[in-house]
Amino acid sequence: MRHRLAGALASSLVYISVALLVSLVIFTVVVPRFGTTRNLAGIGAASASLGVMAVGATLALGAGAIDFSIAGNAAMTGSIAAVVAANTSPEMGIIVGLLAAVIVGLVNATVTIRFRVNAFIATLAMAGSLRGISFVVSNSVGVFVDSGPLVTIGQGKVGDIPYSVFFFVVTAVLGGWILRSTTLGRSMLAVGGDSAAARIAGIRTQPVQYIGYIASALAAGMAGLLLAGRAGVAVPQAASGTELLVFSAVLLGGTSLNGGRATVLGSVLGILFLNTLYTGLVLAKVSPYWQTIIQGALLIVAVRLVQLRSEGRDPLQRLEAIVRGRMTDVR
Amino acid sequence: MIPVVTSPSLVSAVGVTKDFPGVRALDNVSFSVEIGEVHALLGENGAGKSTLTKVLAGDYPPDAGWVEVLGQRIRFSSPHDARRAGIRLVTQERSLVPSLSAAENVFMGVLPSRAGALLDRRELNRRTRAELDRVGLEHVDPGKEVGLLRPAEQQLVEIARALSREGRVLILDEPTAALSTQETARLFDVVRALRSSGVGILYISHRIGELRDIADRVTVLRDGRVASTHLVTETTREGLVREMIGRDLKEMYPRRRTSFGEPALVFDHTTVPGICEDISLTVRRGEIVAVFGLVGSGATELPYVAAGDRPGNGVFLSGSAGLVPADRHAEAIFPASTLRRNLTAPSIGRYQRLGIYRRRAEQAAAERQIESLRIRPPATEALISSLSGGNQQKVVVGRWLERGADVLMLSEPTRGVDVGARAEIYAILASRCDAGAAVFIASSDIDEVAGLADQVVVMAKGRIVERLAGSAITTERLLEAATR
Repeated sequence: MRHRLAGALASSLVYISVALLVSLVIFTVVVPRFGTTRNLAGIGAASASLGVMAVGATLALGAGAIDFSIAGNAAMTGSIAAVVAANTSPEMGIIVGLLAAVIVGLVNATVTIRFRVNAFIATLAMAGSLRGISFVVSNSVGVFVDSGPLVTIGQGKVGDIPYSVFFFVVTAVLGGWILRSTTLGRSMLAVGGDSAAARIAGIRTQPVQYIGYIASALAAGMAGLLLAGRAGVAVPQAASGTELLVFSAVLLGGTSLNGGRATVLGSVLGILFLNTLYTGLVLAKVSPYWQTIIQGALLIVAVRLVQLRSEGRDPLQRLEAIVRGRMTDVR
Repeated sequence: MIPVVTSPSLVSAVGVTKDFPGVRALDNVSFSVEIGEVHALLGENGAGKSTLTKVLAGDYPPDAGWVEVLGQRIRFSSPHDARRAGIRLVTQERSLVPSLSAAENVFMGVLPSRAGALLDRRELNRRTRAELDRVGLEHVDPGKEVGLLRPAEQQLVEIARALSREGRVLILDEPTAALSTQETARLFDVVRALRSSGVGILYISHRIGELRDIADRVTVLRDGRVASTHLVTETTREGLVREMIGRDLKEMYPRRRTSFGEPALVFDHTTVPGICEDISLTVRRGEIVAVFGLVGSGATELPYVAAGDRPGNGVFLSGSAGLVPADRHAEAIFPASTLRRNLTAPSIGRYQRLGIYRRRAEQAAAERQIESLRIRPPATEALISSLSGGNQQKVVVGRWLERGADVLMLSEPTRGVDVGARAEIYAILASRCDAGAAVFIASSDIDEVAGLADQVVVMAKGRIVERLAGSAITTERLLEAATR
């Protein structure tokens, strides 16, 4: 019992789980319309596309790949898919759209890994270009997506639960499984943790880093398709500004910005928490500007907590040591 | 006498030369490790030991010469080729990923899997258990995050990794630097067991005393060349030291000073959490005081505390301080800048008249220091990164002399500095002492401490465990105190 409690405390998921539970309870009690199935399903639907992006970003960060082009990539993928679908078939639209997304990932990887351009700048520049491509492709206006699998996934429901939520769950399970249970996933964490050390240990680091960027790009592309399907129209401004939200969620979940420490479940909880918070605040008639203020503050807190954890100075780790009945000499 | 070898050597370097900008790190080095042999490699900092191991491990391609494994000439294009040839390297550089478990670090790159891609966690933990037990880490859980282990435990995890991979040649680069006496004894048992199973071991160490316990042959490197190769039983401590430094110890170090002035730097029950506890010591003018301690003892941090870079209570200073940090590249030099700028950085406000910067004054100051410290090349506009480590270090010391500092604080003053430049740096410090400066150094180089200091405090786990002065300072007593 004592051992199990200590194990639970040791988990990096404690903070985000508590945050999500507390926010759910408070809003349900305080805001009358919050606890309805309809509202909760809405939170789920809003979380789906962002969550898929977060899964990709988590894998990438684990491998030490920082990709800020995800929102732009989502918009570009949606636009390309819609335009191609309008001219050929919806299926063709999906294929070409995702192909374009993956190419973006390859370019990001090449520029940052082979040409050693700073990842933050390279992917930020890419984000700008992708936004531009979205406007060019769609001729600056929305392109309707009115039939085919995108609409089915984006708008269909089982009871109150949208299909997109199931898609999100499948993606998260797959992502988590890759990271935890495959040798590829473990190699990604090794390379992200310290690429020089991983190289010395016999891991071919470049392919692993490429896979990080491609995972991030592919997930962003899928998120773009979900967004277009849900709205019934692909707009070039889609997903604008969501990269900050996605990274906040991922870091709040316990993934490290420095690589080597990543949890998909944490990211999922992070996305649910932020969407709960925003929906709750809107229903409580708090100014939407407060969302961004709170989000910024939470981002800083999250980064600091992950730092403390890797130094062994997380308050929870100390509590764990006490619960286990001995003080370890972690500094 | 060197044994006559009939079968080909397990691994050998043949006429290997390696150049870096401004310095020839290895010069026509030939060297071999036989099957079932522990071959020690001895040499001062900067003698080329690390470079040679990196050539053998495929990290650096040689500029001339080659590496042979069992008589077969090998073209290493990457560390993978060396690994395939059975060469395993355990370096002092961190090669563990701190955020992953001990198990994943031991089997990194060769994780046991099912169906080719699925991590077999049970098998991983079972095999890691066995490997950790073998190096004396019975108490460490395979799932424990490596970053949370003690430095000595991390070192043993690295050795466990190297041992787990059926190496034919194991290169251990100062494996005992951070180990206690018991941990060292345990490691030697493991090394002996490997030797009798036919593994060849290249053993790099600073501690001449421990070679008799573990090595069969010893090769001394000096200034990138092989100075000698002997059977360990045919060597003496004095002989090895002479071969390492290429002259007698007496010529390497300036003679000790006898009269001292007023206190210039005082630690009075100084405590800095995580670094040191209850440190009291006094550095007088005209005196060189050294703090000696093994890796992790906190010794190398004390000059930073003295200089106020790590704030601590009870530190008193009278005079102008200059700090020479341990990590030259990260903490001292401006690598993209010129020798002149590196020399004048702390004094830049002085080269002015009526508030207008005067390039000519700065230029003259730089030229003066270059001449008096004999910095090579004597070119103010040369990029600092093109200089050898020794000359870079002279620049870092020189910038404080230019500033007029008379309380010099140096952490690892000759790390990565060749023998010739070391003697020059020692002479510079001694002459500043004669001119009334106080010198405080922290070093893990036992010979340097024994040769240079008028007074030594030995640190272990952040506390002072011994104080020695004058002729009582010997390498034996220093080592004994540091590993107590």
